[in-house]
Amino acid sequence: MTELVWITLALPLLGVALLAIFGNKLPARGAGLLASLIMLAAFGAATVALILLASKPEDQRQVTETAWTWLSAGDFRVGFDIWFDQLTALMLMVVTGVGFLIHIFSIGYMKGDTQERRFFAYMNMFVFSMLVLVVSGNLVQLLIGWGLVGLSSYLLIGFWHHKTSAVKAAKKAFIMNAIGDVGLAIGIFLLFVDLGTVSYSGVFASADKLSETQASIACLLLLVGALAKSAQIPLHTWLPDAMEGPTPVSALIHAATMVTAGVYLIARMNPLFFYAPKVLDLIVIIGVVGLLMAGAIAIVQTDIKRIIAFSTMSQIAYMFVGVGLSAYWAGIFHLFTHAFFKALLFMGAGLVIHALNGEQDTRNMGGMRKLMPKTYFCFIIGGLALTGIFPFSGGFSKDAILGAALHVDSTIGWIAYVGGLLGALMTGIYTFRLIFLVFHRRMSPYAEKVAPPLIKHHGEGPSSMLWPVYILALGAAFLGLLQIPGVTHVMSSWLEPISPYGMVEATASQEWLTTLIGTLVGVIGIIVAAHLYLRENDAPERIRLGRGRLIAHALERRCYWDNLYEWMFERPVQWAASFLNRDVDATAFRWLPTDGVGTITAFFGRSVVVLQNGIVRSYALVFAVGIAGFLLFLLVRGT
Amino acid sequence: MDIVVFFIASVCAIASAIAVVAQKNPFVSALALLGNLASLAALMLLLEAQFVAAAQIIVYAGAVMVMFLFVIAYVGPRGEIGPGVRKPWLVALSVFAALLIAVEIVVVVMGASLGTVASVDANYGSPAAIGEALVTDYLLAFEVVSVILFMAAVAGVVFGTGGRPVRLSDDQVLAKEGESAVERRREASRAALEAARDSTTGESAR
Amino acid sequence: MSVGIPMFLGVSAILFTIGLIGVLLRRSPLTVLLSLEIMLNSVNLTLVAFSRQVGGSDGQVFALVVMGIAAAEVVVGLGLVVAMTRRSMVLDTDELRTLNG
Repeated sequence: MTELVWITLALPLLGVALLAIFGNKLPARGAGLLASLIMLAAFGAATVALILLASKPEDQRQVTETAWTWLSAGDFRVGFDIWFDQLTALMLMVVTGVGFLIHIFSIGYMKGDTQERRFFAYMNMFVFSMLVLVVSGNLVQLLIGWGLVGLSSYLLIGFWHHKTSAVKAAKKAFIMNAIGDVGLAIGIFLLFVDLGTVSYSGVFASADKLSETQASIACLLLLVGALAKSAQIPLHTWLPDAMEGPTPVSALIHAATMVTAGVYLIARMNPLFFYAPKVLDLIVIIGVVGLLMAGAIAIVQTDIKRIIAFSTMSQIAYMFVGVGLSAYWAGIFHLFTHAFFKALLFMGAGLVIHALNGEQDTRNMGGMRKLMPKTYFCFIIGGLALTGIFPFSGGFSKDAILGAALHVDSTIGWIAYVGGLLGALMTGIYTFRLIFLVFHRRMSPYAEKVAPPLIKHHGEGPSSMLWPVYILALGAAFLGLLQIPGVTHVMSSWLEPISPYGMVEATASQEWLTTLIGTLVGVIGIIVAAHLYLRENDAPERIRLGRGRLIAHALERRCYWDNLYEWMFERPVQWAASFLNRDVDATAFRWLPTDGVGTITAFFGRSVVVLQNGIVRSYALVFAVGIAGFLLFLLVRGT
Repeated sequence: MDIVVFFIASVCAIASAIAVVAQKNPFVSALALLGNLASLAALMLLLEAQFVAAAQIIVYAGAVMVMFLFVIAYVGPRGEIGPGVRKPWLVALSVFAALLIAVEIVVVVMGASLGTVASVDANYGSPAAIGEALVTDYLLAFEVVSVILFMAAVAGVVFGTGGRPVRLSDDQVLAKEGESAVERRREASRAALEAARDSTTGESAR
Repeated sequence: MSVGIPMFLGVSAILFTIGLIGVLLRRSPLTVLLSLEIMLNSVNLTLVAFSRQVGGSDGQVFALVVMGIAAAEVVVGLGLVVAMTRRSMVLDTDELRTLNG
């Protein structure tokens, strides 16, 4: 079975290699097809591996294998390990499956771009990195995958590198991820110092030897890495800017996979986090604050992709709440459903952007419902799933988390519950605000001019873009049925064994109660959004300029986080740089031979270059004089 | 008897060397070198190095010098450039350095006590002795020299057939045919580059 | 052997010097090559003389190797001269200074 995992891992790598070496010789279409075929094969292998794993008895569903030891120093050995258990299998399916659909989508979306082949090479590279991260059996390999994923994200965000904004966004993402990497690395070092091992089996076995302080510090550092990768407070500011990348990138990396790596990390390291309960509480708090803040900011955004980006941040905060409450299965379940409906929403947005020839500002949209009925339908399904309306999938997973919060019945639990419900209300508001702004109301002048001819000519989109959307809509609609409270327990029973210290799970009645309240809250949100945005209505503007002035300003500035970081980091560095340049280099160093070094060297050079006149005879003369002199010296010195 | 031969041979060698260096006509220089080689062969015979002397005549005088003469004949009158030097102090310096070297060596050589000359048997310097040394102690050197000669032969062929066609630099084209030719060349290469690029990109960016 | 070895060495030194002057003072590449030949031959003589002094055949073998190398070098040098002639370049080592600076 591990061979299948190796195959799944190796296929995207092969894709990258083929595209890198032969990419130029492929036709433009061929690159996309090749990459997608590879993804399909990887998905097939992952599926078979999952089935094989499921066919084993429950207590044997953890398969590890070490390929080779690549680092050994004394007693310390790090190998290239595979750790294949239920969580890994699920993540593999998500990454390869959703990845495959997004690759197909990209074939249509990136058509006509001159750098198509480079795009697909990067996409495959990203999938490979994510797989390395997910199948890793030790912390060092995890770190390798972590870093590679950050690199792929940088390359893909900055894909259109002639756009300055894209380059800046890519840099920002990479730098913030680097901060997370540092935290993660130091955490790993600390674990090694305390426990003497970095493999998962070793860490899990000896986690109980840690004191609470040691465990807390290590988990805190691991959390820093997770926060950076998953774009949670305080390392979240890169995610909205990351929307500069092409839409398939946003769908794959910043919705379905990379940003969920933090959640995966915490879920995977749950035996360790068990010994650091305060850190788990901190995770819940960060999650609650994050989901509320992001939801609020999403209500005032005008760029279609940024609304969805903040929604992503908010939903991942939900996942953090889930794992922070030790309901790991619930967090992962939400990760699973979120991958579907968020990718769906991004791809739908991509279809709309395509139909409007690249326009992303919602103020220039409207009324697209009549022109793009299929997209509209799928978008509605995604929106309902996101808002958590029963019986769509998002509802089941979000309510699983909220049910766990209810079940825990502690202060933290109640904070999580109430916060989660408020968040659901906001989710309903911003999601349907988006839908109404884009698909209902009157068409903006720009849309009227641009969209109809494009749609008449191409239809809503090429089939390569539409079919993945349909499939994801199916998933978003029906995957929730995997975990109907009290009826089907596929998710919770599948994921339960990954947590040796048990998981939190609500009772069926608590679940149904939560589902009811959650759906209700979501519907209220939809109604509010409809009231404000369905028809032409100046109420939002009035609120924004009137009573809600301060809040609106804060939200539009994304709660001043970017300003804070600018003051804390950018300005001091720039000031220091300009000070050094102006006052030190130009003035103080002028008399020092910084310039003088150049002048002196040039002077000597000029003096010596006379000897290099290109005439061979003169060189021979120099030889002769030299030999004569040398012999003279030897003679005089005596032997 | 030896002394007589020695002196005649040395004087011929030195005289012919001076002739080589001083003559303006390279053809005469080459012939003088032939004389030099012959004198040296005689000197080597005095030193009982028969094989080397024979090789000197056969290889050097017989092959290398003939090649020289061929090329000098081919080059013709262009090869005649006198020893005109622009700066007399360079001439003085060169001669001084060379003479200094000569004096130093002579001082060393004459003053040193080399000890008694080894006595050698009749086999010394014969082809058999040299051959034996070549294939036992100096086999590597022997093989390497063969390779070097082979490379020289290849070099000769390459020089003879002119190698790959030469692409003149822009300055040379400018000198030969003038500015318009340079412009035409640039246009042609730019067009070729465009054609190559177009065939590999496919559709242009939206 | 009534002539002492040092005499041979002296002759060789004088020949070497003459060759050296030729290389330093002549401009035509052909003449330079010929002077170079004189220098090489003088070295050959030295080697053979020392070989006789010591009694082994090492020096003679070395002299043969030098002859081989000299032949190869002459091939390349003359090839260059021929190539220069074919391109109608001036056969003057002072004019060939593209490597200056």
